[in-house]
Amino acid sequence: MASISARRLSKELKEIMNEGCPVGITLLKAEDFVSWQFTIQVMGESLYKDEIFTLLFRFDRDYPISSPAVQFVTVDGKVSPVHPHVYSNGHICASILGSEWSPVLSVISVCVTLQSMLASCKKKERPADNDRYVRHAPDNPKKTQWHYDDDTV
Amino acid sequence: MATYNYVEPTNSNLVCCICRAPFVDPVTTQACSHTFCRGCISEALEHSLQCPVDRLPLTPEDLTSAGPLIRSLVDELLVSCPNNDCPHVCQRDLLQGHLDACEFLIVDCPEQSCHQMVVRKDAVNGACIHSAVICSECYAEVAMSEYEAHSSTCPDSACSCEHCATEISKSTIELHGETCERAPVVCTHAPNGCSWKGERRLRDGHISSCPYEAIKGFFIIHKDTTAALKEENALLQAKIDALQGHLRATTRDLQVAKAALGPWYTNAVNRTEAGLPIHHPPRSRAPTSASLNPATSPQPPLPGPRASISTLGSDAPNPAPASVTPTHVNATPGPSNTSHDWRAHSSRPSPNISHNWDPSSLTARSIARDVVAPIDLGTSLEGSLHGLRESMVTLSTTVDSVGRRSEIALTNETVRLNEEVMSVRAHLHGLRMQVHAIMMDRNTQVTGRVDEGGGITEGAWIPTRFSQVPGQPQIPLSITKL
Ligand SMILES: [Zn+2]
Ligand SMILES: [Zn+2]
Ligand SMILES: [Zn+2]
Ligand SMILES: [Zn+2]
Ligand SMILES: [Zn+2]
Ligand SMILES: [Zn+2]
Ligand SMILES: [Zn+2]
Repeated sequence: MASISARRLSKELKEIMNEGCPVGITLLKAEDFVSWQFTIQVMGESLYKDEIFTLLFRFDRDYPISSPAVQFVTVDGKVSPVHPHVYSNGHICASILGSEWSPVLSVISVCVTLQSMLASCKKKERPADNDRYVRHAPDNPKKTQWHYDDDTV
Repeated sequence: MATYNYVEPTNSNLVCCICRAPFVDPVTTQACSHTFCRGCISEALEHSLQCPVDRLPLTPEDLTSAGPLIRSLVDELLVSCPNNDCPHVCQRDLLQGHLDACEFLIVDCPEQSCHQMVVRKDAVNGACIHSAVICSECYAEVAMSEYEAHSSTCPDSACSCEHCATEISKSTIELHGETCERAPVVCTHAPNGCSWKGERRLRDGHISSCPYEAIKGFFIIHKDTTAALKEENALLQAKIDALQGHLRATTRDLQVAKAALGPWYTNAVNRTEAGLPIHHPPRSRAPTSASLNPATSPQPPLPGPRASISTLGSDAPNPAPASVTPTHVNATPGPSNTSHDWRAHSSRPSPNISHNWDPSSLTARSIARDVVAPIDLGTSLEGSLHGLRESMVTLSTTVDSVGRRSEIALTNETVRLNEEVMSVRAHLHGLRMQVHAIMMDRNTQVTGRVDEGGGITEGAWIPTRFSQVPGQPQIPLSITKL
């Protein structure tokens, strides 16, 4: 008997295969129902023009009831975007990945939200506490108790 | 039942936004009227007490069963039986009933000691299909479920020979066919043409009387000979193929050469036919000039174009210096044919130098065309080229000398023109003086205030000026009336 997360993810994967990803987002790897990878690119004029980032999704058995762990990949020469809510280790401070998560959201809707977060960026800078956070950060960003100080994200 | 295989795509209004599948036991929130599967929303509420869609506060007590319309809509969705191989499709609410009776449901083997699983339809007769049975023919162990398939292919199942009716096993029937005494065979000399056919046991009797048997030796020799000939034939065929390819290549090359040679190709062929070798360099020059001769018939003394050109070249330097003679430098331009003597055949005396230059050079060109014979296609290409080169050499020397001569002529002409201009200038000066004298004269007549002495002085002066101009006729007095 497949778990709830596997059934839900197989549905989402089927949708991606049938309808494709939104512009600027491509499925890189989805070999199992444990972790997926997407490339994400901001289309049009933005501070991140011509930059391509890789997003890593990690799912537990309770997905979609519990949120997926989402972060930018920072290994193999890949880097996280310089953004006030993105740490240099790839962790993202975004409320929809924590307290604002809802089971009706999906992998693609998370990708689109992060894409628009990058697109609306005004200044390329790291979060103020980047160095301190990165030094003590847990491997899984879901274990971090985020303090969301910006309503726009 | 947690998962269904829906056979058709579902209306998106009947899909739970948490599990993305059609509602199972749908419930609706009272406050915001959102519908979810009961299982899905219960799990979500354990995690966070809010509506997943709009994040309004929500508790399990706020959920009520969805209306009968939604329930019947999702219950009527068609699903297929989840058991492997079962083709059954029914409404979702009827699936449970089918599953209770589905023949493809996996159940325990009815044999108590066997711990394997079987599909229900194989368990109905109460026997364990996993137990092996022994084939009565080949004594091999065959699983119960495969016994039927085995019995039709068992190698030891009995059958009878169709020719002699002997009972034998399937695995040996082929072997028997090769020795069966009653099987139909043909004569051993069939390849040589014997048409005898009959049972194998009768063949020996036929062979003793077979006409082909008598000439068996001949067939063997014949076969060897044929084989040798075939081999040779194949060898020759290969050779011909190679030669044909070679010939094609050669023909192609020849065509290219033919196209490149143009008219000389046919000449070369003609000469070869006439028995003359194509390569004969010393011969080529003499025929060139000789054959050019007829074309230049208007000039009998010239042996050929080369000779005529060189004659022109050598004659030219002599008359050219003659044109520098000062006798020609005078006011009245006489016929200056001297400067054009080198154009041996234009020779028509021109009345005027300036007129002489352009038209006569045209004439010269047309004459040159007559003088230089057309390309002779009668000789070999090499000869023609040689002749052409000779002509080129003479032409270039001629052009050279023509250039030199025209330079001299031009210098002479310039000198002569200079002198002429000077004499014209002198004339003009005289004329100006005369006009001046006349004007003075008229002034005197009109005003009448000139004293005698002055008038005489003027009058005495004017003729003096007139007489100074050489070769100038005296101005008639009537000129004062102009
Ligand atoms: Zn559901
Ligand atoms: Zn709601
Ligand atoms: Zn069934
Ligand atoms: Zn059994
Ligand atoms: Zn058998
Ligand atoms: Zn037989
Ligand atoms: Zn025979």
